[in-house]
Amino acid sequence: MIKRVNMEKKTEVPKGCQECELGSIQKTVTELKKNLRRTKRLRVALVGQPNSGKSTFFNSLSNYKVNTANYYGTTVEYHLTTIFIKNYEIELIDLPGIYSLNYSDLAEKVSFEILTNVRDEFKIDGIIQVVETSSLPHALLLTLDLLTLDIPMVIALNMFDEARIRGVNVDIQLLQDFINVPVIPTVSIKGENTLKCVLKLIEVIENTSLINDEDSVISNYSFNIKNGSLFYRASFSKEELRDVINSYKRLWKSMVKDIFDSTNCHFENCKLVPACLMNIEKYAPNMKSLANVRDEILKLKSNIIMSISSLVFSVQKPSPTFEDLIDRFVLNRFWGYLILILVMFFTFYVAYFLGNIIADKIDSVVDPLSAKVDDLFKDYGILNPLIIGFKEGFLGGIGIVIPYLIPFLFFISLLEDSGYIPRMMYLMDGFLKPLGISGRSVLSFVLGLGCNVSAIMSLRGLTKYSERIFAGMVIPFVPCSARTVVVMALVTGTLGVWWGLSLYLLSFLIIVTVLLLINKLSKFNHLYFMVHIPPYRVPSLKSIFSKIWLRFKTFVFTAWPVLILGTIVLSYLSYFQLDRSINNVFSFLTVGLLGLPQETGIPLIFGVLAKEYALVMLYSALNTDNIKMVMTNLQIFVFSVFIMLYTPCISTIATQVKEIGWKYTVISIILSVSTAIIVSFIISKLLYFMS
Amino acid sequence: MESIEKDKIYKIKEIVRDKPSYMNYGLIEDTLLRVIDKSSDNKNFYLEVIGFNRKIAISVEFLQDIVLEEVSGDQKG
Repeated sequence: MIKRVNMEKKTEVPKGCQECELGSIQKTVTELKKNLRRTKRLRVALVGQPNSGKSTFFNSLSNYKVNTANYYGTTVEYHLTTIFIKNYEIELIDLPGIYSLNYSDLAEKVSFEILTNVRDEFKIDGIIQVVETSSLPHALLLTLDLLTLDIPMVIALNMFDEARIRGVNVDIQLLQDFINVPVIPTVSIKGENTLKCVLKLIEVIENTSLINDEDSVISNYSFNIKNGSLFYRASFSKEELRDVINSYKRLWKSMVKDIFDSTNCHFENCKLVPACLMNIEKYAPNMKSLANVRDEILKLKSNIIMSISSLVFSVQKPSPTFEDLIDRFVLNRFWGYLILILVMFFTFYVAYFLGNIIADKIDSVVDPLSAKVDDLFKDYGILNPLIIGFKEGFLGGIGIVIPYLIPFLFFISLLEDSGYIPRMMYLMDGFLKPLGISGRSVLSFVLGLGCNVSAIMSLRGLTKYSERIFAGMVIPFVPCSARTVVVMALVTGTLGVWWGLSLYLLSFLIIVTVLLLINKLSKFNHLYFMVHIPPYRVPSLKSIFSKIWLRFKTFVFTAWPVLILGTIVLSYLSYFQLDRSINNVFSFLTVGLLGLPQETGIPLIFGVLAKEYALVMLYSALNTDNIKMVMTNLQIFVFSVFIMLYTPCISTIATQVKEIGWKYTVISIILSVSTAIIVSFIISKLLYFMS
Repeated sequence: MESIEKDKIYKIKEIVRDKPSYMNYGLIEDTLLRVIDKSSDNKNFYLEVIGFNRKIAISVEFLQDIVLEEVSGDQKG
């Protein structure tokens, strides 16, 4: 079983017996030292193709929670955790999904470099390959590559229950015989057999003879590159397969050795691993002939895969499947777009509707409580701003942010897990290409509705540099959940649903215009699109709540304390009458250009930290619970437009710098601020004349 | 690529270049593809890679590197 280190573990000590107590402590210390000496360290990588359930597998083994979803490329960087099993301290690494060791994007490159130890950062002692059972033949592409690394390995046939329902049958014993690697069926979402995989891997590592018997097998099999009749065989028999797989491994290795010996070619940053051959165009672009030989070996690889698949894997499914029938509507040229619009409308409308109900319930508790606090602490002099500021920040988080944030996150998580987002990519690709981005970017834009930070990080899954830059500069215009809170609480709550929706439409129009503009000015083009479409899945409540908690936690532990600190600072600024001078500095913008109350200056500054701060700080700065008493409808709308569009929050800026660099981040900020000023100014003047 | 029709099955005869990248998506010579859907402008295709039990969406530009052959009814099995 999993043991977690508990250094504070106490032992029972008989009362009044000092010697016994000392003796007991010494014994415990000795035992602890012994245990520490006995503990062996292992580093285990969870490897698998995208969307095979690695992160769910990782979560089931650790207390650490990473995000999961039903689309390709949820994990774009590796995650680490340490677990203790038997007398092993195991560092478990959840790697980004990779189809084979021939990586094609930045996220896959991370996995490639760790597995081949290019970075000299991690030496992997063992691999658990997480395979989505329904697509076992496809996963064998990676399995064959991993076998060439000669690292002890176990295969987890994940989502085994779902595969059974889908009519998939796998002959596990035969598969094990062919690849000489233990294969264990798992259901990681229920934690079934995940621990068993780790225990089995330990066994394999302890008994390396289990994996190192290839030489004896290969010695019976005469094979060399020049006399490779195997290349032209379309399939192999049961008896031949294991030998052929070992030959395949040996072939890669001998080729790498040949290249090193004959050409003195050094694959920059790449260790002597067969995998580097897969990336021959990247590492040795002048060795074209080698690429041809490599292609021949790939042919052998595909023949091996097809042969194994035909013997161990079968699917019995009706034609057309239920999924095909749903897809006929979802991808239909008329119904598909109608469904897309309805899904997005439903997401926002129901989130707003539920948010309103929750907000009303919370208000009925919070308002009397707030009044009581005001009464209780009105005569506390210099401490008064501290208490009132704390109260406003704390209750602002509960009463204004949480009611709208949770329902919205619920629906976004539902979308992520259903498998609908990749279909949106297919539907939208045709519209997006003239804007300089492909359908693959849709994922980042949908993620942006939750949080711009994770959206920008997901750009690592895009293969085109230009597309990453384009999307990275424009994603800050996508209304994230923080801005949705502002829209729902401030605009929809006070002006009505259609005013709220018009803000989303405005964001959409601005994104399209900015993309068109950048695309026109730049020389980037040629956007091609290839993406896997996962099966539809009924989202599990456990997974959805875990996702909500992950994102909600960021608000509770990161944003909320800053929000409370912010309201305290504002209270003191107001107490010492400094707020007016700060607001004066910004009055040329707030009062002069946008026609807003002067008090909106400070909330705009706080909005740079996180957009929802601007909302809570606005209530605090205007010292009101009812915004309509102090601002006109026009001012509320203009303020919200400005908040939606102006500079990305500080976390987004930091992520932009990391992912697209300083130059493009600065351009993006200038673009956001100038768009916010121009659009808000035009809207304020337009609405003023119309009214 | 206008000739690729919905609901028909095609065999990959040859992949002209960058085989490893195509392989990542299960596109290997001799595998069968079923066309589930194609966009109205013939720019995107939604395919099932039959042997791999996978579905992919792919731009027409990628398909231009693949030589396809329509499979008649008796060859599908």
